[in-house]
Amino acid sequence: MKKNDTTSEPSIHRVRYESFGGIISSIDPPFLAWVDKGFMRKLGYCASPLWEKKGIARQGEAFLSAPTEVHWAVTNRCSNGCLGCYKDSQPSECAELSTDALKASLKSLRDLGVFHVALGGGEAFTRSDLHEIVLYSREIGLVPNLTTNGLSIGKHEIEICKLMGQVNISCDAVGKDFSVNGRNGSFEQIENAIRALKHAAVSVGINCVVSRNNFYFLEKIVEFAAREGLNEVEFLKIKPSGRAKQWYAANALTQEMIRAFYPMLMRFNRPDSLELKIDCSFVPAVLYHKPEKSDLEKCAVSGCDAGNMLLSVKSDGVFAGCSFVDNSDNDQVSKIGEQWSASRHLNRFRQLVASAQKPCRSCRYLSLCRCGCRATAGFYTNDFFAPDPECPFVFDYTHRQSISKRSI
Amino acid sequence: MNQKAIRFPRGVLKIKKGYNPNSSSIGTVLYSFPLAFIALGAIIALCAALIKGKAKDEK
Repeated sequence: MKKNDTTSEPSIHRVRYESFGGIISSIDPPFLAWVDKGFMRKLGYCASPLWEKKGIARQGEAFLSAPTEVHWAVTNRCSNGCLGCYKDSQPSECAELSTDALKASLKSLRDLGVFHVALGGGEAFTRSDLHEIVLYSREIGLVPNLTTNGLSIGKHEIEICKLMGQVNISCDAVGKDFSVNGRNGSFEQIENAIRALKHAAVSVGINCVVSRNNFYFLEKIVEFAAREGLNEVEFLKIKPSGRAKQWYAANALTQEMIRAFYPMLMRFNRPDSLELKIDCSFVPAVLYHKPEKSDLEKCAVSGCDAGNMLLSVKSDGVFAGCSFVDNSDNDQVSKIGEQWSASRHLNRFRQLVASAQKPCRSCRYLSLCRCGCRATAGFYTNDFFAPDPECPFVFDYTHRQSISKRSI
Repeated sequence: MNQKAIRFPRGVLKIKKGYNPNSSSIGTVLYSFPLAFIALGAIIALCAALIKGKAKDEK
């Protein structure tokens, strides 16, 4: 039997077994492919004990043997002070793992079967050991990726970025509108950083947090990204988390905007080389337009995938299902090998489908969307299992219910 | 909205394209569903080639 996670195929980076077959990781082109047992056998992989199981299931639905990607805020330090920061990052010192502890936890994640790690913060470049962390990730077979505020990109930072699979720079609007989401720094700094990274042949994209302040400026971001030859723009729905919590009610997207979002993006002119991406919390905004479910599944479109494809880690080493929901059990990533299946916090995410309330319970996209964003639902309702009130389907249902109650 | 459904090589269940550098949210490539699956062409071809290559080795 081939050893799990290794292969002699030049195009395959790593392979791991799953109950349905396995997941193949490729670097060039970068993708993950979920394949069945027959495909694994054709690749030369013998049967795994995992194939005898119907997925790991504990108090809920089946989930993967490990996350595919881990989002790690390696520090909470950032001097930028943006009003909409999801972490409430500060310039001062904060609880951070030491270099050795961080590397040991990266190794635990690699041993569990994780493929990619997304490094961020805070501002990851405030860690003087970032180069060592990134080199180590590569050495053990984790693909490191990075989100940065783009305000401190010099020669040293560019050398680090060359080791990344993908680097995205935070930018919510271009030109004079740059600070529309309470962002500090200048657009000129972002432009310079992007050009320097492009010049060094780094794969660069933009992360754009979408609020009602920049909703109508998104096309300009896409135009800018196309002009600069970037490979992606990822749109992230603003979340009620960190410093943005106080700011949220006045700046969240309106229902009209949420419904108009997907058709609007599809109308933007862009080259094929520029991909538009959305974060998990925007998935209900796409589903509202009723795309074919099987097509979405094949392209790994997923709503809340916390505790399945996704794990997040805070700067102090506490892990959570996602970066916007706290783990009150304070589980440490150093124990992830035993905690991935056992964590009470992660198992709550795995009960979302089984515990779905109306109208999610009867929604045909339930298994894919998984009740929308937990951070948003928690903010409005204080109920972890409540439907996301910003989902258009949920909004309409609630509206109908209130009319019906009034008429009674 | 009447395009054919995506056809993956036999045995491929799901494909997640690209990397997600975002440390806060899982990134999904935004296609116009069910349009633009042509964007997955290279990946689908690679998966098929992997199997064919392996089958050839076995012969």
